[in-house]
Amino acid sequence: MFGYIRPVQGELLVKEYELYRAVYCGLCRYGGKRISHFTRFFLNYDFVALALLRLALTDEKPNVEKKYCPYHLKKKNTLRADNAYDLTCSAFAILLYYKALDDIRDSKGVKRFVKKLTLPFFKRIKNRASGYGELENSIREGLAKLDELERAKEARLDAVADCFAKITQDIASFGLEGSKKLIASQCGYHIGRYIYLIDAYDDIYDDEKSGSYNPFLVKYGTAEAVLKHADEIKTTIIDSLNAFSSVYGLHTVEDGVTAYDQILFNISELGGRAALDKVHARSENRR
Amino acid sequence: MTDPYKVLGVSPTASDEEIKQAYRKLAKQYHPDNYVNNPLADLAAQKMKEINEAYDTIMRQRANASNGYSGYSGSNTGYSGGGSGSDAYTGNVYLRIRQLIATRRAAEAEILLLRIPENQRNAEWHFLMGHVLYQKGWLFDARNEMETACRLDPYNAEYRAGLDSLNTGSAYSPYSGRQAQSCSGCDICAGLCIADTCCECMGGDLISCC
Repeated sequence: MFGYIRPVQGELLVKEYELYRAVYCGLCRYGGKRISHFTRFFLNYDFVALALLRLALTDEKPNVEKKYCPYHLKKKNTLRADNAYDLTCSAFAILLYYKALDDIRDSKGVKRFVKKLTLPFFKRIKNRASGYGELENSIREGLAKLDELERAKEARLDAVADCFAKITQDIASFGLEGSKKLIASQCGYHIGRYIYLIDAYDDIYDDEKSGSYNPFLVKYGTAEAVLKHADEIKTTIIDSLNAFSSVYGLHTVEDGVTAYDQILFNISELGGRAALDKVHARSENRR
Repeated sequence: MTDPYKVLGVSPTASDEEIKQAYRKLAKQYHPDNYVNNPLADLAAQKMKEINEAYDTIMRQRANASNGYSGYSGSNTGYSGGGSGSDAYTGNVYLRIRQLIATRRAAEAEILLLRIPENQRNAEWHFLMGHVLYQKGWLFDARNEMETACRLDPYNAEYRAGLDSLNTGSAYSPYSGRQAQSCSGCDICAGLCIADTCCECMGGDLISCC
């Protein structure tokens, strides 16, 4: 689930690009301080997109500072927005912990033992994410349901993607009220659905080789057959991007289009499709 | 009722893929878009309806057979003979379902929809089901239902608009339909010319020099 949802940078205005970098930098920095320095290596574009959505919906004023970055050995533009980052980082830590648990349950032998040794670390970072008990419950339940469907070899794409999408929906809409909550829920849902499906599509050959669950393999049989239905799959993934964009548009009706909105529209109209084309080309090459 | 396999011109032992191919070929041939302004349009529409019905019947039979419900469709055929009474009933239910959808109560609408027996599910049923699934975010199934609705009733503008809405993002997005929204100098000139012509038709004049 890494890095599918990002803007096409060439199409951004320079100020939008700088804002995007500043959000990325700010999130990485905040995550390092609040959760663990280790998570800075795990930070990915999907969480930056969730943070951006949050910033846009809560009308956070862009507060950009220059800060020294020890990993780049220079000063970088950083956007300060503690509230939005706190939610995103905590959700990230909780997801990491339950993913790790899942991973241990699925592996055997020495690997299982080694993975078990890392568990206290994940547990610690999860415990740092305090004050999100409700969110933790919904993440745990969502992943448990996903696991159940995966074991039952569920073939309905929508049903499996739904479990993951509900998780991102809850993350995106956490603590919001009224129409903002509705918009955030729908946008979060479709970010999750998009990420789950594109990730599964990206993994068809790996999963076929290892025999792991993949909804497309269950539905169509082999990776070869999945590629024969590429149009159908691409359509349904793009449908999620369209749904995201059309719901998100409602937010701009009241408040006008800001730089955050421009970046999010870039992601949903261009970036998401570009990532999908890349994934598709990669699968075609392996054919 | 005529044999659905005969309508599509395939043998009852044909594979699903063969049936799909035969259906697509016929549907392309008889699609109403090919018969706009044609005196035979109504005949083509009638033929199209037959093809759609035949295809749906076969697919439903096969789906039921593979699910182990082969007795189910048989037992229901007697029920559909209920006549106009059941139509009025479903009409009211559809109205209620539309209200539920409008107030974002998709879960309740879905339950009501699933209660309608399979052999009474018409284009509207598929359209509303598509709507419910869309609200839930189940876009793969939603698109299938919307497409079925359009296939069963190709002239219905509401169903067509429902399907089209899946294909478009926000009108507020700076990236979507950039060209479609723009109004070039050429468009303005053309618009003025047309306005002038219209005015002249009515006896007035917008641009005095032409």
